[in-house]
Amino acid sequence: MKEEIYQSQIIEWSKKTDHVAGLKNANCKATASNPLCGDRISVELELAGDVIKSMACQVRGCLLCKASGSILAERVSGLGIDEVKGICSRLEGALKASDDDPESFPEGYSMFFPVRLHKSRHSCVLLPFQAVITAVSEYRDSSDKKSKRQS
Amino acid sequence: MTFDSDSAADEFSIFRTCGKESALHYLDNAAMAQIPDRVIKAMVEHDTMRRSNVKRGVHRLAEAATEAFEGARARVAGYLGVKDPDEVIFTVGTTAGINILAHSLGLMFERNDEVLLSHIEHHSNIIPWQVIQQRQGIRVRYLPMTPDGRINLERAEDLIKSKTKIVAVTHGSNVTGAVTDARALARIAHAKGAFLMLDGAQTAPGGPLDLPGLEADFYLFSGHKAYGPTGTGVLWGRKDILKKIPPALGGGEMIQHVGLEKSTYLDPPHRFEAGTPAVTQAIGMAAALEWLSGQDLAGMHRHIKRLTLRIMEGLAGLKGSIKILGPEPGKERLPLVSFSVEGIHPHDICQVLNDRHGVALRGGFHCAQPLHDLLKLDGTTRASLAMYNNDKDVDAFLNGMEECLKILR
Repeated sequence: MKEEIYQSQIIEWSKKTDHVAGLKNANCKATASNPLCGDRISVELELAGDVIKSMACQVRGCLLCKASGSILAERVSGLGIDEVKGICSRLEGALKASDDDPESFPEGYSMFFPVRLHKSRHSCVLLPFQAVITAVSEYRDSSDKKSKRQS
Repeated sequence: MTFDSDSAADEFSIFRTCGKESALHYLDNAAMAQIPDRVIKAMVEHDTMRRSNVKRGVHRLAEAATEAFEGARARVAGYLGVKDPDEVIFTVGTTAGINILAHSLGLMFERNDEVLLSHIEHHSNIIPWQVIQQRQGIRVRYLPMTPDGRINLERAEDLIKSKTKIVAVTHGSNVTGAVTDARALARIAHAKGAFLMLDGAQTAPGGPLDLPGLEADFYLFSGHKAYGPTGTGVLWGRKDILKKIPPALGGGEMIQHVGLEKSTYLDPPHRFEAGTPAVTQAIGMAAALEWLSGQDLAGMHRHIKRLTLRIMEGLAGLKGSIKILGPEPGKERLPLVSFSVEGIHPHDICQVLNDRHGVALRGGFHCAQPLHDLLKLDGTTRASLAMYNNDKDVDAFLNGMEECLKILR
């Protein structure tokens, strides 16, 4: 029997909606999309200094993207952007790795283990991270420009 | 002669090799059809017996290769129903062909000239013209879509103006499956002094054509969707028009005389075939078209039409909000069915059907994002048929869909 991508855990996470509503105190946001399959995710973040306090996201896309977005929205609170980048990098590495080791996946992401066999779907899992990283990066760029203008 | 899909499938080794360990129900034919063994054999035979560059060598291999290459051109012309092989320009596919046409014809455009496309076009028939728009300040306009996914020809009279240089549309949509009434559109375009170009990527695989009967000025298709090799395609154009168009691509094989300041070009088709062509593949494409022409075409069409109808009726009978794009069952359509399921993304459907049922589908925008935007859809799932498909393929698809709706809802 092949490893099933659509395990109950992924389906349950994909159906969570508690992170969908926009944030009252959001100070940065971004949309990321995958032109190949049409996945699109919009994220809102409340950033306090370098730390993400909370995240909301809306996904128009596949179950993998929705599940990945839900997990990230739930786990991202209190993390710095470098930590988010670190998780993203580990997740990407685990998906691409040729070794069959679910332990290589970051904590909370081992349900995506079967996805490693489907290269075309890796970007579905990683898209929420790209949206968060873009949101923070654009927020910082805009803050830097404002500071320069003021000085 | 009667058509038998199982006998047809026997000519394709891929169904014996890939279908050996696990089921393979290949329903992604609108993206690429499989290739019969005899076409592969024709290419191997050429490369092992006549491989050489074409058009200029005088040695025996060069002469044999040139004869085979030009023979392929004549066979393609026969498939298209045209008398003059010189109207057949070999390309590497429909996309390349439209780019060659847009960039060549575009050299004759003036600022504010217009090109008329439609809302149901493949990106391959949008982007090349947008590039010309940005480069030369022309206008790209669009014929709208009818509710059943056709090009709305009732708007053609209004939208084709004296400044319209070319109406470039699909002959059959790769998403809605609707077939364009080419002749009606040609007459309106010609009356206003515009050319008509048909993207035949989805219609050419249906069997030999009668291009003079369509009254179009240009027609394009790809070999890989017509049981031929990848990297092949044809841009057909009326010779009297082709002779007036300057080439957009330059290089060897297309020149008459090269000077340091100025060069002159060969007549069509060579003028538009810069560099060494895909000789072996062109021979393979001609072999594929010849083989296709030899089928019981009426029987093949009846068979594929019945399977298409089964897919449409089967989907309509499933519980769940399923929207099928394109003409209603029973109306003329290509053998492809695109649909959306509320709340389920096309890629999830494709993945479940592949993993659990061995059904190969296509999901996403099918390179027709404007069409999906107009329909407010984040993509569709498409099942597309070819001569080797059978009832087992349709059963696997419909069973898979039923299970998919249970799992993913």
